Amino acid sequence: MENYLFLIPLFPLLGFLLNGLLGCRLEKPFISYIGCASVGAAFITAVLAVYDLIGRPAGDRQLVQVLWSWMAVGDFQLDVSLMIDQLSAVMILVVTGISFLIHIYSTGYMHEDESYWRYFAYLNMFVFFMTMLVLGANYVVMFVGWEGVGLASYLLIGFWYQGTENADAGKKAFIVNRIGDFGFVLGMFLLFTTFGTLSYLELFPEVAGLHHQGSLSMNSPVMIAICLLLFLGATGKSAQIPLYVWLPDAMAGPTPVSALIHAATMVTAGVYMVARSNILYTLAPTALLIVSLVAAATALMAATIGILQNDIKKVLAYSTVSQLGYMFIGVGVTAYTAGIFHLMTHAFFKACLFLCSGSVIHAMGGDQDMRNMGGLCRKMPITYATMLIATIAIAGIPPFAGFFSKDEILWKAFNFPYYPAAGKIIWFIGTLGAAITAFYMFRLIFMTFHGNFRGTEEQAHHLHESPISMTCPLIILAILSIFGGWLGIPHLIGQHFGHVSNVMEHFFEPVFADSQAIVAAETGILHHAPGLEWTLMAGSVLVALAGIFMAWTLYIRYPEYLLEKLARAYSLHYRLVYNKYYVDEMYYLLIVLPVYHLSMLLWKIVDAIVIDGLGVNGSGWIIRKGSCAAAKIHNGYLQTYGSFFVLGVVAILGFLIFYQ
Amino acid sequence: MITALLPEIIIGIASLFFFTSSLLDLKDRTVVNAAIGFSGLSIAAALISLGSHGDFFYYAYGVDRFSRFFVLLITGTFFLACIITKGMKQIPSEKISELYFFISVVVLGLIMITTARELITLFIALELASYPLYIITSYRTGLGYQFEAAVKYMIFGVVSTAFMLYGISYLYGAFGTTFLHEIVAEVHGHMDNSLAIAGAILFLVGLAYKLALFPFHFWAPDVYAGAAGEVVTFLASLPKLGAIALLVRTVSMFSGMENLLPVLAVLAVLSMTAGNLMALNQQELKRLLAYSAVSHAGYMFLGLLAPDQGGFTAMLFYGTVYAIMSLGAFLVALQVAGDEKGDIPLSNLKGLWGRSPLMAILLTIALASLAGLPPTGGFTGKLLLLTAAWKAGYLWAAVAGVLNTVIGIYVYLKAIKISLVGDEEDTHALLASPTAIRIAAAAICITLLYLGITPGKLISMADMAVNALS
Amino acid sequence: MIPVNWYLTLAAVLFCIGVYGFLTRRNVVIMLLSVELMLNAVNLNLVAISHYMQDLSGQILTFFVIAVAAAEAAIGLAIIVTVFRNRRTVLGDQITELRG
Repeated sequence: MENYLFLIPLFPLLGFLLNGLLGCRLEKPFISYIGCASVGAAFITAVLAVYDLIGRPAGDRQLVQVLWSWMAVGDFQLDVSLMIDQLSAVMILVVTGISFLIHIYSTGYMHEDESYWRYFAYLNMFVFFMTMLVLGANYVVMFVGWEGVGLASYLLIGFWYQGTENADAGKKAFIVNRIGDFGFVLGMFLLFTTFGTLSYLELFPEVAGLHHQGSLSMNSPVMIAICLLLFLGATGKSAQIPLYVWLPDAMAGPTPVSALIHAATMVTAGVYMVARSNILYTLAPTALLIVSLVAAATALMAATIGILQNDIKKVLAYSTVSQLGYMFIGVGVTAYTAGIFHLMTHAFFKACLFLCSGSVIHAMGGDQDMRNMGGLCRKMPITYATMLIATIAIAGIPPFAGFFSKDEILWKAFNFPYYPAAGKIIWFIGTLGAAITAFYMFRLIFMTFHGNFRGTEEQAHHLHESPISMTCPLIILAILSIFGGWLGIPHLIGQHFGHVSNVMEHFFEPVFADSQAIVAAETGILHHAPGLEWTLMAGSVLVALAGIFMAWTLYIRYPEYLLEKLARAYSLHYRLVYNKYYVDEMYYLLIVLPVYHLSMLLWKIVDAIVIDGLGVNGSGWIIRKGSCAAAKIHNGYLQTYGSFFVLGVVAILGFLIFYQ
Repeated sequence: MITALLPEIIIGIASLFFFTSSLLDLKDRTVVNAAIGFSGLSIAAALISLGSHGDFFYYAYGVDRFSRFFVLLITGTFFLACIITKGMKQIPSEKISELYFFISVVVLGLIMITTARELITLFIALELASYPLYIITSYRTGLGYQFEAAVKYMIFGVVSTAFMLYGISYLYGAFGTTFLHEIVAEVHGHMDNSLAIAGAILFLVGLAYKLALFPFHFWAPDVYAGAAGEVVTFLASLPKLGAIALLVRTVSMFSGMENLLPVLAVLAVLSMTAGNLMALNQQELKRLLAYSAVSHAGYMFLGLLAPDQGGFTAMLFYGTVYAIMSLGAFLVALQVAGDEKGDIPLSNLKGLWGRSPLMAILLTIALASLAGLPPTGGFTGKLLLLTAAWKAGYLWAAVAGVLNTVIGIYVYLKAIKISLVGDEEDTHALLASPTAIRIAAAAICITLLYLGITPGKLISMADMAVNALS
Repeated sequence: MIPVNWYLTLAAVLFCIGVYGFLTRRNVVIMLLSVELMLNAVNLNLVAISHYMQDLSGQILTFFVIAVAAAEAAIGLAIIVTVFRNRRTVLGDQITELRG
C-alpha cells in the first residue's frame, strides 16, 4: 500500500510533462488521451488507496509514504512524504474524481481552441499540485502544492490572454493570493519555531500532549496567532472576506477551469487546511470565533451580491464565495466533519452548476449575460435537468445533497460549544443566507431556462444541446448531487430508516477525536433536544422554499413587474403606492427594495470600492508609487549615486560609533 | 602540497594562454573552446583540491575546506558561464581572447579572495578581481552605452576600494597586524574599539558594493543594462561568490561587535525591499535582473545575522543557488537578445514556449527560483535564510523577508507569464540554440530542481565548509 | 614628537576632502583625482600607524596601494578617453543615458 501512494501525483505530473513538452507537436485526440488518462489513472489509484485504507482497522487508518528526506540541518528535519488518512481520502477522491470528469468535459468544451495542448498541460499541472497539497504529510509539502495550484490558477485565468481584462484578472488573483500566502508562511514559521516540527504526525500529537500536560493552555496567544495567520492564508485561497475579490474576476478563465479550480477543488484548500489543523484551532477558541464570524459575514454578503448579477458565471462565483463561507462556518464552530462534508457535496453540485453554465455559454456562442437567455429548457433538456438538480441541491431541499451538509453546519453553528450566543447569530445569518441562496439560484434557473428567448436571431438559431463528452459529466455530477448527501444523514433522520448511521461522521471520527475530546472537556458534553433539531431543520427548508417562491413570483409569474417596478423606484419613489397587486407591493416594500438596495450597496460600495479599491488596488498603488520613487533616484547621475553611497556609509558609521 | 594550489595554477596558466592568444590571430571558435576546456580543467582541479589543507606564504594564504568549497563554486560558475556565453554575439572578434584573459585573472583573484588570510594579500586579490571587470564592461560591438557603464562601474569601484582601504588601515591600526588569525585572536578585546568598528564597517561596505547591496548598488542596474550580455553573465555571477566568501569570513570574525548585526539586518531589509520595488516596473530583462541582484543581496545578508544558527550555511547554500539561477536567467536572456542596441525588453520573451520550450522551462524554473517558489532551490535557500534569521532573534527581518518574497514573486511572474502565455502567431522564428547551450540549460533546470527537492547534500557540504572557519 | 592621533586626523580630513571633491566635481577626471586623494589619506594612515606600532607591514601595504593606485589611474583614464571619443565630453552630468 505504502508503495503506490506516490503514483497519485505522479500520473498528472507525467501528463503535464508530456503535454507541455510535446503537446505542440501532437494531435488533439492524443492530447486529450494523455490529459484524461493521466488524471483517470490518478483517480483509480486514489480509489484503490482509499479501498485499502478502509480495509484496515478503524484505529489504524493512516498511511504514510516517505519519498525522501528533504533536508536535515541541525534540528530542522523535514521529509517529503505523502500521507493518506480519512480526511485526505475524502479530499483526494473528490479532487481526482471531479478533475477526471472535468478533463472529459474539457475535451468537448475546448475543442475549438488553438492552444489545446497548453490548456491540458496547465490543467494536469494543477491536478499534480492539488494532489500534493492534499496528500502532503507536513505543512511544507502542503505549501508546495498551495503555491503550485496558485500558479496553475494564475496561468489558467489568463489563458485567453487576448483580453487585457483576463490578464488583469489573473494578476489580481495572484496579488491577493500572495497576501494570503504571506500569512500562511508566517503561520508556518511560527508553528515551526514554537513546536519544532511541521509534520502532521509529530505536530498534532505533540500539541495535544502538551495540552494534556497543562503546558499549553487554551487560547494561548501564540496559538491564536498561528491560527489567524494560517486563516489569513485560507482567506486568500478560499476567497473569504477581505480577500475574496479575486474569485469573481477569476471567471475570466475558461468555464471548466472555473468549475474545477474556482469551485470544486482549489478554493476549498483553505477549508481543508483548517480542518487538517483542527487541533490547533480547537485550542484557540478566539481564532475559531473570528473564523466563524468572518465566514458568516462572507456567506451572507456574497449571497446578497449574487442577487443582482446578470452574468451567469458571476452569480455562480459569488455563490461559491458564499458556500465557502458555510464551510468555514462549519470548521469555525468545531464541526470539522460538517465543513468537510459540505466541501464534498458543494464540489458535486457547484462543479455541476459551472459545467452546466459552460454548456449554456457554449450554446449561446460565448454570451454569458442571462438577460439574453431564457427558454433554454426546450433546447437543452439534459443541461436543464442537471442544472435544476444541482440548483435544488444548493438551495437545500431534502433529500438532495446540499440539504444534509448545510443543515448539519447550521445545526452545529446553533450549538457552537465555545460561544453559544455568537453561535445563534451565526445560525441566523446562515439561515438567512440559505434563503437568499435559494432565491438567486432559482432566479438564475428561471432567467436562463424559462420564459422566452431574449437573445439575437443568430444565437437562437445556434442553440443546441452540448455533445456527449460534455453532458456525460453533467449527468454523473447531477447524480452525485442527489445522492452524495446521503453519506451524512443526521442520526435524527437516520433512525427512522432502519438506523442508517452518519457515515461521514463515523468515518472522520478518529481524525477529529482529539479535538472533540478537548471541546467536550472544555465545555461539557452537550445534549440537545431532538425537537429543536427538527424545528431548525424544518425552518431551513421553509426559508429555502420561501426563497424559491420569491424567485418564482418575480421572474416567472410577474416577470415584467419587477423590472418595471425597479425602474420606477429609481425615478419616483412616491408613485409606489399606486399598484394593483397590493400584497406584492408589501413584499416589494418590505423585502425586495431593501434587499435590492443592500445588494447594490454591498456590490458597488463595499465590494468595488472598499475591498477592491482601497484594499487590493490601494496596496498595489502604494507599491507602485514606491516603485516609481525608487526608480527616480536612479537618474543616471554619478553625483546622485555617489551621494547615496556616502550617505549610506555615514549613516552606518554614525549609528555605530556615536550612538553607542 | 601542489594539489592544494592546483586550481590557482590551472587558472594562472589559462590567463597566460589567453594573454598569448590575444597577440596571435586565432579563430574565435578555438579561443572559446580553449576557455571551456580550461574552465572545465579548473573544475577538475578544484575537485582534486577539495579536501586539502595547507598554509602558504607564512600564513598569508591558507587552503581549507571553506576556501576550496568556494573555489569549486567559482570554477563551476566559470565553466557554466563560458558555455552560456560561447556565442559571443556582442563581443568584437578581436577582443574575445582579451576578454577571456581578463576573466581568467578575475577568477584567479576571486580564488585568492576566498583563500587569502592576510589583509595585504586580500587587498591585492580584491583588486585583481575588480579592475579587469571595469575594462571588459566596455567590450561590445556597436555604439551602445558600454562606455558609460564602464565609467560608472570604474568610478564607484575605485571609491569603494578607497573606503575599503581606509577600513583596512583602521583595522591595522586597531589590531596592529594584517594577519587574520592574529586579528581573530585579539578581536574579543576590541569589541567596543571605535577604530576596529569603523574599520570593520568600512571593510564591509566595500564588500556590500561588490554584492550590490542597497545603498551601494547604484552601479549595478546601469552596468547590467549597458554592458554586453556576455560580460554581464560573468560579472553578475562570479564576483558575488567572492564577496559572499569574504563577507562570511569577515562577519564570522566581527560578529560579536556591538550593534553590528542589527545594522546589517537593517541593510538587508532595506536592500531586499528597494530591489524588489525597483524591479517592479522594469521592462528590460537585464535591468530587472540587476534589481533582482540587489534584493538577493539583501536576502543573503540575512544569513550573516545568524552566525550560530546556521546562517552562514544558509548563505553559502543560497550563494550557490543564486549563481546557478542567475546564470539560467542570463542564458535565456542571451538567447532572446536581439541585435539592436543590446536592450532585452521583456517583450522579447513573448511566445517563448512556442519558440523553444526548453528555454521557456529554464526561464520559468530560474525565475521561480529567484522568486523563491517551491520546489526550486531558491525556495529552499530562502527558507534556510529566513529560519536562520528568525532563530537568531531577528523576527522582524524574517517577516520583512517573507513580505518581500510576496512582492518578489509578482516581479518574476510577470516575466514568466509573458514567456508562457505570449501570442503564438506573433512569434519570431524558432530559437535554434547550439547543443552545448541546450545541455547547459537542461543541466541548470535539473540542478535547480534537484537543489529544491533534495538539498541535503549541498547543505552538508556548505556546513562542512562553514565548520572549517572556526 | 607628534602623536599618532594627529596623523589620523589629518588623514581623515584628507579623506573627507577627497569625498567632497568626488561628490561635487562634474569632471570625471577630477573625480578620479579626488579618489587618489582618498587613497593618499589611506597611505598616510598606514605609514603613521606603521611607525607608531613599529611594524613594517603597514608600509609594505602602502607600496601596494601606490602601485594599485597607478594601475587604477591607468585603467580609469583609458576608460575616460574612450568615453570622450564617444561622447565628446568627460562631464559626469552629461553621461546619464543609463538610468531608471
